[in-house]
Amino acid sequence: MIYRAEPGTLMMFNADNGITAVVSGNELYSLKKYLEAGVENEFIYRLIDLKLIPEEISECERQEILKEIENTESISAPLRSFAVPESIHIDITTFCPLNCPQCYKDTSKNIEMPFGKFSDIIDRAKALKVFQIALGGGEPLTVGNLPAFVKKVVSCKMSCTITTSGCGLTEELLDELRESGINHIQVSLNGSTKEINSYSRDGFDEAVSSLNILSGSSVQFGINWVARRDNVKDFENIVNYAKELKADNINILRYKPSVREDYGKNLLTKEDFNLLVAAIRKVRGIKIKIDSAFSNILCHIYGNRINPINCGCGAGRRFMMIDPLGRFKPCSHMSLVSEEQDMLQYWLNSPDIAKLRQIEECIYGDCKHCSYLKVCRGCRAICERLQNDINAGEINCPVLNRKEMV
Amino acid sequence: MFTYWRGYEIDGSSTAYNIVVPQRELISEVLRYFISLKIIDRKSDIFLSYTEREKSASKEFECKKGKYKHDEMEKTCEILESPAVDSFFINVDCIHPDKLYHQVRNELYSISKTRPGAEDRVYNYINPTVSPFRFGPDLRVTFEFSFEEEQAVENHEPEGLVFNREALVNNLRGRHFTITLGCGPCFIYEYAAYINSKLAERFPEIGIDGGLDCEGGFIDGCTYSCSLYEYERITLASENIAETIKILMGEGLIFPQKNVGRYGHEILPCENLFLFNLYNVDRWLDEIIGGKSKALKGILEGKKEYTPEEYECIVRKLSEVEMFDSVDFMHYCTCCVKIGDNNCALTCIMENGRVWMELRVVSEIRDDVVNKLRLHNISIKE
Repeated sequence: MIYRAEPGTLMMFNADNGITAVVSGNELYSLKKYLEAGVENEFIYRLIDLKLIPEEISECERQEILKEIENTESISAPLRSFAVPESIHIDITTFCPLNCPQCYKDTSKNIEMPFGKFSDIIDRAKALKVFQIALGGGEPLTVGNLPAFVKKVVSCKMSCTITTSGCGLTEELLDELRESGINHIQVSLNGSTKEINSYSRDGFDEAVSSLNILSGSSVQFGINWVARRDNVKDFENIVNYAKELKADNINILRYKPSVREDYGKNLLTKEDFNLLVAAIRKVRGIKIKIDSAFSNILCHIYGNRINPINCGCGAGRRFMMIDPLGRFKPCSHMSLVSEEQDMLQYWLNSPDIAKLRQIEECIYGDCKHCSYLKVCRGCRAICERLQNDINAGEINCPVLNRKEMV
Repeated sequence: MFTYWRGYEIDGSSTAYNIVVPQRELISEVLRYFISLKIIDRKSDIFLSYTEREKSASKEFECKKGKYKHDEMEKTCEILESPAVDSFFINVDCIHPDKLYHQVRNELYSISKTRPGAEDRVYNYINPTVSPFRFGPDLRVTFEFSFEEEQAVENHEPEGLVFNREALVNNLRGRHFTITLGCGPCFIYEYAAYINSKLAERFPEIGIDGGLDCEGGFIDGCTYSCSLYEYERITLASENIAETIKILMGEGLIFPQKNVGRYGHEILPCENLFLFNLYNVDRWLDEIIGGKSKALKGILEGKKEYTPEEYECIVRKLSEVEMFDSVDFMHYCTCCVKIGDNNCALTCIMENGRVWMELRVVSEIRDDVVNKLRLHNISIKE
């Protein structure tokens, strides 16, 4: 468990079940009373049931939580963001054996993050009480001592996930990763058949092989599926396939501009988008996750009835990214690289991140006039790539809901 | 405030959110907890109905219905969490007060102390129960939820049972969702208070109000017209049912009554014992009560009035039917008898496979009845 103070709020995270919670006000007082005087009530039992506090709490843990509760009164956080990142995405290598048409990464140079560098980053993240570390690349499975990377993260009580094409996953490696404490593995697959997948991705056989291995293991896993014009009608097949495999989730990613493709050709049309949303609404028996760049899907389904904390671009507000050279970025899809050396300084003082936190005031174009702005904010990376400005609004958003029309 | 979300961060997709937003997860969590409350009958079915629409902008709904067992709760919650579901309605039954675990029963009865007008009266009762007659408590509760967000309400005046007042007022000031817990007019105040207080304590972020109990209605409050204290149980020690009944009738302690008329509302004296609650058993629909009607009709063979010996024989047969639980058994064995000027009940209960006769008398005459029983050497089971 990790407990962290935010202004007036205690945040909690359990890496074993992936639950993040925020407690404030009377609920925080109730927790404090329990820790100080053992006053139990149904709310405390609820926290125990959710495994957010242990049933048998040690003196050390009790003191740690009380200290964090005390800190909630003095700590400050930057505008519209947590005091420190909730999660960090780390690309541990640029190398990938595949050559996917849709890839947005520069894989021309083979750069791998040395373990020592990674270890320092994780120690710093632990000191800041970051909750989650998401490993990516390149292809992270090509990193020789990957289990050691995972073990390092898990030993610091943070959760560790890997996003992979599946290339290189063997039963032996999976055993090592499981023993290292990996919490989740996400495999990228864009089609239920080799043909559909090949329109945008390489390595269909490798992905299917890795999913079969994962399906027979106790490691939680899911499928990353990028929604495109050439595979949108295949979504239901992917859902059925994932259900057969007993995958935990399908994560629907928004298609981002690639140097190898004509972006406009593969972008979802409004009809495609509506088709996808209708298909999503019908899904039962598997968890559907949505890329924050696709927050407009959540807006389309729920309107403004969403807590902004659980919707909208979280770059620089909830998470940040570190590349294999150890450089900081708000998000892996953006070009905004910083030379800042200290993680906290970057989080607190980066002008790039500051811009992202002021997007509600600075955005222009359609998004500025959209009633969903506060819970969506569009995909800043796509807007940056297409319009060279992170303040630019989305173009042709299928969910645009002009304020004057509301 | 308390909120939480579930899921691991996935690289490359930025922060990944669930299609099931925390609001829906919260409603689902509330439903799970509500169903798990110790006064909810896990043996009864959960009846579910919900509406779905395929497109968010569409005004066309499709209504669906289903019946689930309590161990199929996951399926029910999966429906609730589906983004296509717009409204959701279930009904479940509560456990009869006689069948509650001792600790839960005590907890429930102790709620009366907080009931307006009841504070001083609660402690005068010895072994209270609800009315044993067919117009007894309706212990069905409904849980209704619509994902149509409601508009902000300023200056809301909470009324009735109010819990988490601050959260209630604050939530109402913004756009909010409402869960409606519904109960029939014969629902028991203490049950409603138990459900609401448990939910309020577990979910401090949710405000609760409603359920007026006007004029401190201890016995006959407007909203909760059924009282936990309406009758007193006097269990007799003799297992010889027929002989004991003969003494009671012979000594003029009880006078059998029967219900007559199309709806059985009229009560008239009769010679023998009459199974009061089975007055119109011929009209009971078997599918609604899970095959019990068929079993009853088979045992009764159309007869409803019994001599003491015949009554004992029927009671023994009823006690052997496995599908009848203890409350069913008591309910089916109940006869109306006049004691003094009061309509009371003569019934039987089953404990550890043994059958005992019981008088359920209006609370005010308990001591008088006990004294008379002792005068006639009829032992009372402690």
